[in-house]
Amino acid sequence: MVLEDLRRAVFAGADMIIERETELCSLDAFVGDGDHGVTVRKGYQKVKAAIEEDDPKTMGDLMMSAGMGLADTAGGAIGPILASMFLGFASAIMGKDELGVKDLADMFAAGLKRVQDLGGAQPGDCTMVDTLYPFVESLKNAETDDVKEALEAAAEKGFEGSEATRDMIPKLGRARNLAERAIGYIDAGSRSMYYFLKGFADNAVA
Amino acid sequence: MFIKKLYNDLDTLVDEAMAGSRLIADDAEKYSRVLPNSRITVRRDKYKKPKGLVKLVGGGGAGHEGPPGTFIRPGGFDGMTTGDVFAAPSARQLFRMIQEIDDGSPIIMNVARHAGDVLNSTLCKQLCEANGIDHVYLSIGGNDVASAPKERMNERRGSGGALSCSTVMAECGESVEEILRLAEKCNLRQRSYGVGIRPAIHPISGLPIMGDMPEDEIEMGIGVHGESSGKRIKLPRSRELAQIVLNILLEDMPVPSGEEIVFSLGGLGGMTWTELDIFYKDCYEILTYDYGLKIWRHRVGNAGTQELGGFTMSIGWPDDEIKKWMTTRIPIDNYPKD
Repeated sequence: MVLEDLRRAVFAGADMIIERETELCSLDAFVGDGDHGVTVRKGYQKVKAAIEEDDPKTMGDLMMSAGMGLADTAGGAIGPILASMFLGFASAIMGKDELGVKDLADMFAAGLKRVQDLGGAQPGDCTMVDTLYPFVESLKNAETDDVKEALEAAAEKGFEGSEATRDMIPKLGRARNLAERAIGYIDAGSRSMYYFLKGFADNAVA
Repeated sequence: MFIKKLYNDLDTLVDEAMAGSRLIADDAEKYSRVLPNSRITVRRDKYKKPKGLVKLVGGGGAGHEGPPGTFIRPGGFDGMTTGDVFAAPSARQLFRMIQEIDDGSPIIMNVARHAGDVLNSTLCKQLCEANGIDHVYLSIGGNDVASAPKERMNERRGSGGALSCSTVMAECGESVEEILRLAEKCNLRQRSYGVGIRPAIHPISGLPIMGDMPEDEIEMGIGVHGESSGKRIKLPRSRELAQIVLNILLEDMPVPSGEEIVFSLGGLGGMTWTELDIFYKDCYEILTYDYGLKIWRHRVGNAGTQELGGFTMSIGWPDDEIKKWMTTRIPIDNYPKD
């Protein structure tokens, strides 16, 4: 992947979330405020706007712009956590002109670490980490050098991770108060994370 | 939603309140300025803290406005920023403030432990580091006894406070390590507890805060945004409530008889002074005669959560080092004569 590919992939991931605002809100309706779709739609619109405005010339700067855009969102925890994830992406690829499977694994791992550091979630806590963690593991263990193949396989693992939140008891955020009553519901944050990764994976190669 | 409060436009409510507060406070324009199109206040160039001295900044939600005062001035903070009503300022906004203040000296962000404030401040620190500002430190404080047990002191939420040394230490040229050490010590040597008596109205949503409280009950252990604890009791008499709350605070932080304390009673906005006068007297008598403590300093006020009836009570137990800083004056030659 080069700069142009990265930009296309990030935009595609953002669009996939923006288009699914209503679905993401209804997922959140029982467990949360029912506004998850709105929050992430606004956040990813800022990602696109920041990249368009800054017109970054390196891949690291592109992820930095995305993070700075997200850091502009006030209220709620999702905006800052996603912003931190993009800053993690940026720090991992700063100075690189091209990303292979290994670089992408490092990049997403750095983002995952930021999400966990700031949000405090572990795999199994019923959050976006349940999508991102298996995605990163799959990329790390990929036996192919083909970016598209590796990302698509990882996205599939991410989907399975998001599906698995149906059987989890939430440990963080407002959903925590529901405990067992949240069983049977997919975590909206895990699903929006999946849509971003899916859009990214499907468009990483032109 | 009909809101029976004075305002012009809900979208500009926070900014209009900020502008008015600056007009009321005598020295606000003299010492500080607001960055264009922002809710960021910084010191004017003439009153900037000399380079090399530690800078102190803070931020928090709006809706807590108290009597207008000039916090951004010599001897005070270097920058302050405000979010929306009861919502933390964004990390980007905090970052813009730090960019404006940064002169290469260490910068301490003072953070009250509320989820949004901690998240955005931590993210702001990351933004700073990503942009080459690597001398930003977080000082996170919280001592609300009701929010977490003593074993999990480092999870306690921010509320009132009685002890503070940071601003004067920074003016005196103390190191960032020393200032952070003392801030931590102050936080560990004070305790707070909140009680809600009468509901308030959120100025933007128009919804009641603690609206479902029965007429004859009060809520023990509320947060400064009216966060519920679920623990309600029948309204006691003033003296009885004073006994209950002081007992909670001093059981959590036992202070030996004969010691000097700092006592703070912060009405949340909807207390009458009749109530505060009576309640303070009761606290004073119990602290003095039952616990044998001496009130070294005291502070009683009434602002913080709109018109919420209730209070946050804080007790601080300063040691000699804290007392020294709380009685130190800032060096006069840091700034030009007027």
